[in-house]
Amino acid sequence: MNKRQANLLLILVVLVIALVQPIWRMAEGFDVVTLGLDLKGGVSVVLQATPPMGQEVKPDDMSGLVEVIRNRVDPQGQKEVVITVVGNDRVLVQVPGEKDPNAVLQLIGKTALLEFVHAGKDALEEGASIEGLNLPVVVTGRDLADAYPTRDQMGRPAVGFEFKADAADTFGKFTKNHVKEYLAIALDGVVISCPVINGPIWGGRGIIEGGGFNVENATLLARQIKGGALPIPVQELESRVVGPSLGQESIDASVVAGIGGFIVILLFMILLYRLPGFVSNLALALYVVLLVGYLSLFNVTLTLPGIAGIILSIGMAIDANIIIFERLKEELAWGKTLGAAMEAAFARAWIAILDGNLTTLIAALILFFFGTGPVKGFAITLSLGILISMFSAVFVTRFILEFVTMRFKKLGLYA
Amino acid sequence: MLQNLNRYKLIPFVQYSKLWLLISALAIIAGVIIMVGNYRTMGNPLFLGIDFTGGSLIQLQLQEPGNAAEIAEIAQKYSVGEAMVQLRRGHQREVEIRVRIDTSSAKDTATRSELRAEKISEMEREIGDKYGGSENMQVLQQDYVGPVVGAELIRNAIIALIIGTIAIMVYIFIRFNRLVFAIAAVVALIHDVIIALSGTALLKLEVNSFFIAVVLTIIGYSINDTIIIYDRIRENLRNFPQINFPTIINLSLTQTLTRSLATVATVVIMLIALLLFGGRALYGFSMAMLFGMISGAYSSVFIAAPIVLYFTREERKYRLPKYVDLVAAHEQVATGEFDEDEAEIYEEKEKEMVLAPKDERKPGAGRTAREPVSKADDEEGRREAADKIKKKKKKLRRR
Repeated sequence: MNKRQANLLLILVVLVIALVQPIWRMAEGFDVVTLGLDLKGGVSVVLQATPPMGQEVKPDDMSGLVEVIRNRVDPQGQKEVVITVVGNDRVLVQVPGEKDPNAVLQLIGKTALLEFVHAGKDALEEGASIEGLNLPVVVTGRDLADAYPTRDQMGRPAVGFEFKADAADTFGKFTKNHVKEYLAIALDGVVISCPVINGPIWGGRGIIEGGGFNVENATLLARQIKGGALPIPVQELESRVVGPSLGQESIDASVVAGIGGFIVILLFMILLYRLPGFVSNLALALYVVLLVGYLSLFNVTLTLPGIAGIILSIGMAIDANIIIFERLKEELAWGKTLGAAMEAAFARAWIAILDGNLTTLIAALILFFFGTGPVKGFAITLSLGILISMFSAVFVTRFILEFVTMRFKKLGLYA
Repeated sequence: MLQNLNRYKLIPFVQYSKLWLLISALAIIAGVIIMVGNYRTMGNPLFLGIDFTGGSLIQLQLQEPGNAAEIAEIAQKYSVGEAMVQLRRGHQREVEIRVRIDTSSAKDTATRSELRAEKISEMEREIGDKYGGSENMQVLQQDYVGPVVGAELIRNAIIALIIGTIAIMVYIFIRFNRLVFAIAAVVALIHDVIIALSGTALLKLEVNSFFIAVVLTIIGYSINDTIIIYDRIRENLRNFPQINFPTIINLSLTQTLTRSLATVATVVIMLIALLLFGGRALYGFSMAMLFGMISGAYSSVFIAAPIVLYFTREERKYRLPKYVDLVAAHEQVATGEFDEDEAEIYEEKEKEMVLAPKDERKPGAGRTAREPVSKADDEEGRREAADKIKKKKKKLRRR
C-alpha cells in the first residue's frame, strides 16, 4: 500500500466512523444529534440545596434529592427526564417536551420533607395542610431506613416502612402512648395519609394502610417517602422554559441561514481560487458532514448557540484553505512548477494554520472549563470544529488537490 | 493574478500607523461615550439580561395583537420594581415581559419558587384572557434566574477572560520568542473586546450568559488572524535579513492582505446569513460577533503590527521603500552578499528625501533574524553604512 492509498484509507475510516452513529440514530428514529431543550422545547431548572444552618450538604443528600425529584416529575419513568447533580450542591432538572412549565416548577419547587406528626384525637383529611397547626413532629423522613409497597392483613395494597434504630425507639414510645389516636404523615406540609394508631409499633416497622391504595399509588407513595427521606430544602436558582414552537422556529431559521451562507461561500471560493476553490468546497462539505457526525458520536447536546457555532465555524474552517491557496499563488509567482508550488504551499501554510488554530483551541478549552451548561456545549462544538477543520482543510484538500494536479496542469486554473 | 516579484509593491501600512491608531481610538472613545450614555439612561453601560440581573423573562404568543402599555400594567401588579414589556416588531401578537415577581409573601425559600410559578401562571392567564383567551395562548419562553447566578457568571467570565488572555500570551511568547509579539497581540485583543462591547452597547443588544462565549470566540478568531501575520513576519525576517524591520512588516502585511480580507469575508458571509435568516434568538449573538470579527480583522492588520514596531523603540528617520525586489533579495541571501539598495526600490519623486545615517537606517542589516532591530553600533558597521549612504545618494541622483 503506497502513501496515497494509506491516506485514502484514513479519510474513509474517519468518514465511516462519523457516519455510523447518525445512521444508527436515524434508523432507530432518534434525532441525528441530541437536541438541547432550547431547541426541542421543555423545562430546565437548576436547584440549589440549602441545608439548615450548621449543616453541610453530603453527596448522599444530593443523590437523595435527585431521587425525590425524579419521583415527583417522572414517577412512571416515561418521559426522558434528565436529572443531574451539578457541582457539590446543585441539581439540574431537564424535562423535554413539557408544555406546562409552571406545573413542573410547582412540582419540584417543593422540599420533599416527610414528617410523621401527632394529629391528636381527630383524623386530618388527605391533602389538608398541617402548616400553622403546630402539631408535634414525632419523626421525619431523615429517620427512615426504608419504605416499600406491601399489603395489609386483608391483602390490600399498603406502604411499609422501616425506621433507623433510635427513631424506632422514639416511634415505639410515641405509638405506645397514643393508641387510638391519629398519626398524620405529611409530605411538604400536606397530609398524604392519616392512619389511626392501632397499637404500639416496636421494632421500627409499620405500614400505612387504607386511603384508597391500589398497587400503583402505593408503589408511588413508597418511592416518594423513600425519596423524601432526605429532607434537604432546595431553592430554585434558575429555570428556563422554551415552548416547542420557538425551538422548531430556531432550528428552521438556522438551517436556512446555514445553507444560504454555505452556498455563498462555495461561490466565493470558486470565484477567488478557481479549481483549488472548488476542491476546498468539497472539503468544506465533508467538514460539515464530519462535524455533525462526530457531534452525534460523542453525544454532544446541541443547543441553539451550538448551532450558531457550527454555522460560524463553516466560515472559519475555510480559512485554512484560503491561507494555503494564497500561498500557492505566491509560490507559483516565484516560478515554481505546479507540483513544487503545491508542496511548498502546504508545508509553509501548515505552520501558520497550526499556530492559529491552537490558540483558538486554547480559548475554546478555557470556555469549556469555566463555562456552564450551554456555554460548555458551545466550547465542545468549537473545539471539535477546529480539529475537524484542520483535518478536512489541510489533509483532505491536499489529498484531492494532488490527485487533481496530476490531471489538470493548466496554470490558469490555479492562479 | 500573479504579483511582480521584481518590483513588489508594498502597501504603506507602517507609514500611516498613526492614522490607524487614531481610527481605533475614535471608535473606542465613541464606544465609551455610548456606554456612559447607557449608564445614565439604563443604569448600566450594557443592556444586561436576566442572567446577570436576576428576574423573569416571559415570551407569550397571544391570540390577538397586544398593547404594551396595557400588558405592562397587568405585569406591574405581580412585580417588584418596574416591569418591562416589549412587543415584537412586525409580530404584534408576540410579547416579551421582564418582571421581578413579588414573592415577599412566601415564608421560606422552598415555597418561594412554588409561589413564583403560581403567580406567573396567573399573570400569563390574565394577559392571555385580555387578548383573545388564554386557552390557545402559547408560552414561547419563560426564564427565571435567581440573584446569585449573575454574580457567579460575572466572576467566571472575568476568570475565563484573564486566564484565556494569559494562556494566549504564553503560547505566542513560546512560539515567537518575543514578548513584544505577545503584548501587541493582547492589545489587539483588548481592542476587539472593547469594540464588540461598544457595538453591543450601541444597539442595546441583550447581554446574557452566552456573551462570554461570544467574547472568547472573538478573541480566538482575532488571535488566529494576528498569528497568521506574525508567522509571515517571522518567516520574512529569516528569509530577508537585509531588509529593515518596518519594511518587513509592510511586506508581510501586504503579502497576507488578500488572505486577511478573504477570511474575514467568509466569516462575515456566515454572520450576515445568520442575521438575515437565523431568527430572533440568534440576532444578538450574530450582531455582537459581527462587530468583534470585523474589529479582529482590522486590529490584526492595523493595530498589532504597528504596536510591535512601537515597542521595539526604534527611531526611524528614514523613508521606507515603496517596492521591494524580492528576487534580488533572495539571490543576495543565497550568495551571502547584501545590498539593501538593490532589494528596496524607492520612487523617483522621493529624491530629495533626507536620509538618516546608515546605522540607524538599517538596524537589522546582515544580522540574524532573531535580532533584526538591534543597532549596528560597532565602528566598522558605521563606516560601512556611511559608505553605503554615499553610494545610495549617488544612485538616486543618477535616476
